[in-house]
Amino acid sequence: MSKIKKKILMLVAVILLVAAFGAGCAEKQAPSETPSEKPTPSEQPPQPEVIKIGVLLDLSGDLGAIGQKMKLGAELAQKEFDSLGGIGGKKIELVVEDAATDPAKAVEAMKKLVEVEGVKVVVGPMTSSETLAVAKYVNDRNVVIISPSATAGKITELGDDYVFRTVGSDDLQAAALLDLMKSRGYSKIATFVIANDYGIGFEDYFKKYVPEMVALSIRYDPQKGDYRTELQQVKDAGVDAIIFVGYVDSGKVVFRQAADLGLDEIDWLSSEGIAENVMFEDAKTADFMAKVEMIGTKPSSTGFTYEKFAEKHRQAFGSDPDLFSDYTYDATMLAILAAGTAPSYDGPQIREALKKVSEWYNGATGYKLFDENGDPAFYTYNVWKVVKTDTGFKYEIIGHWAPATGLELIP
Amino acid sequence: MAFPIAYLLDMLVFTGIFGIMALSLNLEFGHTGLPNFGKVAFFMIGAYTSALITLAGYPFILGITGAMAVSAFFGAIVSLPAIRLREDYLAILTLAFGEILRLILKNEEWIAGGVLGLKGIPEALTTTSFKSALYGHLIVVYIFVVTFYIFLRFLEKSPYGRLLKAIREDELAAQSLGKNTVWYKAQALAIGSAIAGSSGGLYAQYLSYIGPDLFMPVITFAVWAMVIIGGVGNHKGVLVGALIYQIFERGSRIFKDYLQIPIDPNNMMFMIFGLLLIIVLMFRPEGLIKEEKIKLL
Amino acid sequence: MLEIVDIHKEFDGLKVLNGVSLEVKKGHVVGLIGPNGSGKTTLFNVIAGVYKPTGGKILLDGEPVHGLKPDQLYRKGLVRTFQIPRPFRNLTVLDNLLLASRNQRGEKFARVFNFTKWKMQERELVEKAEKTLELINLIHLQDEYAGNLSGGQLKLLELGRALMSDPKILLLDEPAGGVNPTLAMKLFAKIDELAHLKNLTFFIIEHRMETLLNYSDYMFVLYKGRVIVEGKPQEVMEDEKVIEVYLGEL
Repeated sequence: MSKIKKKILMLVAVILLVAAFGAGCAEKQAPSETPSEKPTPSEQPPQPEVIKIGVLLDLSGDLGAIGQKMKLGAELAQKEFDSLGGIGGKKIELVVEDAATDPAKAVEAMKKLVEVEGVKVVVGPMTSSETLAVAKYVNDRNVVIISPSATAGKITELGDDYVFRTVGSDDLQAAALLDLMKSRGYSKIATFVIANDYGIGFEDYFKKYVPEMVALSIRYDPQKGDYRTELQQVKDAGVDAIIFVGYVDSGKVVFRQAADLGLDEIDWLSSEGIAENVMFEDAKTADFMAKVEMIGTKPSSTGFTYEKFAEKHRQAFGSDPDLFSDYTYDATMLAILAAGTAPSYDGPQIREALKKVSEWYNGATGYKLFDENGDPAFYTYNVWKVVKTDTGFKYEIIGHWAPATGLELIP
Repeated sequence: MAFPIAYLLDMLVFTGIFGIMALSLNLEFGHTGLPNFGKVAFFMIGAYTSALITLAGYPFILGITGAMAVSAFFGAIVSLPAIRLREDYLAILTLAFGEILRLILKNEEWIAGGVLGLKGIPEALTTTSFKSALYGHLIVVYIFVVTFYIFLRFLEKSPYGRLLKAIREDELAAQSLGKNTVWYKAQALAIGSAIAGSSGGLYAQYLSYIGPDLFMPVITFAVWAMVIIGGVGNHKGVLVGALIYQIFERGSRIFKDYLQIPIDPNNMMFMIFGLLLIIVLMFRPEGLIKEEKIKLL
Repeated sequence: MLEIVDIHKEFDGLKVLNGVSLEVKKGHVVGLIGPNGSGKTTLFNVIAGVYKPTGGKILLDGEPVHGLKPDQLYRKGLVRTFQIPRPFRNLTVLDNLLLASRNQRGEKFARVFNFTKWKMQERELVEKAEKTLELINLIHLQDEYAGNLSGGQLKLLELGRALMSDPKILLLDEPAGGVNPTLAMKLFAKIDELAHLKNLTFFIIEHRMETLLNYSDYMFVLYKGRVIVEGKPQEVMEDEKVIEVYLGEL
């Protein structure tokens, strides 16, 4: 073996090890699970009195930390039923698999759930790509999936099938944002979105419905960390408003740099991706958001059902629910109710039962009636505005948007 | 009904698809000594080309042919600036090419659906039930595996294959014996990329969905691991390597149900596999199955 | 046959060859000697196309060939061996020789599938290779990996590869280095025989001039990138400058 060859082989080995080590380190940040909660199929051969609910979330990889917390939502739903003695006398077993933030792994894990575990209803997967990747397979195998967090508009197009989700499509929120924009009478806007399915989904929506309004569209790479060139472009474009769609980490950087460039003359609109209080931890970011009176939309998570859920979450796990764990809770509740009320543990029947259950179920995130595409039919967004109070900053709810009612601003 | 054997058959389909990738890398690196770190790029080109062709209504065989042709073209073009230089330049260039291409496909919707990719890709065979479809896939994939295996064995046992190995052993010496090594290296990359492209085409029709998130650089490293563990330079070996990789991947998913482990099974799989790789490199650098001594006559 | 006219070669301003001019006549065994660092191997590398000369001309049968690549020169009949042997280690000794042959059509991808044809050729080439292996005393090792050969055997293999290619002119870089003296003598006798029977031309680098004495027709002495003395071996041996150069090295 030549020297170069040996070097190359060693390099590959080292890269794989580093990748594994990095993944292992990332793993440590996520909460460790209680061993007693592990499903142990070896000791429990599938019996008719046990209802298996598959849970397919990203427990490792890029979204591993979020997925670990979403899993708590699923466990909460199971605990609730178990404390009542199961559903219809049947115990509930969660069969948890890791999709590792990788669509290929999601497909593989889904196959294991279905073929090896015999699961007929699955909560998950988390991302839109994963959901699209498993869609054909679950339709072929008549397995119901309920995604708690896949928001891409494209999932709606999958049509009358076995794919459901408890969260609203990005298209819906984009529609809400568009109504908000129209109410303000903008004629020229710039979109500034994160370069993934979430951000690009919004950009596409505006380009499709109001192409004449979109003067400039920028996609940013969250790893980049410097957006002054892009922001300068926005400034030079002379638009009325900028629509920012991204997440908190990159959002903070963008807003700080916008403040430096004096981009506070124009209006700023955004979405739920940044509508979290951690944004205010950075004083400069918070000041900027308050100064431009940033407004935006986010899925409505107010009301007493959500408070009840949050209280239960705190009791069970000692922490506040995190992003999407409410949607995971609802997806799991719906899955359990559907499987428990279906005449038999069988995909098509569970699907019919799910549609019936969804007619009356009112969960942490509200009513979950599914439309013909498996999307939630009633979906309300809150309209928020960043305001400075005596004690700090907050997202004040200034209105609501729902497909049926349109935009309603609190006078 | 649950159909546990399907999980096994699915594993064999994946073994076949990635086995083809491993075969192609074995031609490039194992035999010609070209460190192609952009394997995933050609896999991706094949997947997208074949998906676009079949989605436009053309038959699968045309999709695969197109996938191979386009991948081969890129394999030759991309490498041209680098193969005149040392091997490490090629490694860097191909690695970058894979990522750049993925980002382009992710950001340009007009090419192939952008960030959410392409769905509803027609399968190679139209079947009525899930089971028959699975067996159908198995047959289709292994027709390709066997064909490429025979083809590559034939090449290995020909003066052409001998010449590729000579380039791997000592390029300057090969040049001094009158071999236009740059041209041969470009050919090897074109052939290897064509084979990798067909593997991508098979992957696309099997999943029936492709998106940029399916083509992360980790695929390249997985294929490298298959080749290193199975046996650099031995086509049988790299197929065994592909099988071992799949067994590890699926095995860790099954075993976690029976064993309590403190870390995520997915990460554990990477760690154990990385360790296996180091052990193989230290104690059996030629891999599980050694390169054969070839006699042409 | 081979004419070298005022060849210069610099590496980052370091002048290694400083206007070398010499001529190798057809059918001759020509020696190139000189102390370490005199530029012998660099000159070979320039002639063989590994390096491009910074200035000057190289003519092969009157045709300029400087700047051509090794594989192009090979096709014109100029073949070289390396001072440190460069075998294809994980190929057999026989394959090493077969790779040097000129006309194996099976090496072209387009013709590889016509295997009846290349197998026929292969049989002829194997016959020729075996004869060559007998000549260089490696026939018993023909199925051994080249990597398993000893240093002296590798030298022989280099020579064998060069002979396999039916060259017009062979450039041998220290062909007897590391070979035991008896075999070295035999080797040079063989070279002498080939040169005069088959009208082959040899251009040989040797560090120790005594070895070449009996077997070369003409000699050039290279020192600090220049030819300082040339002539018949006996004359060169007795030249004062040469003695000085070699003594100076000691």
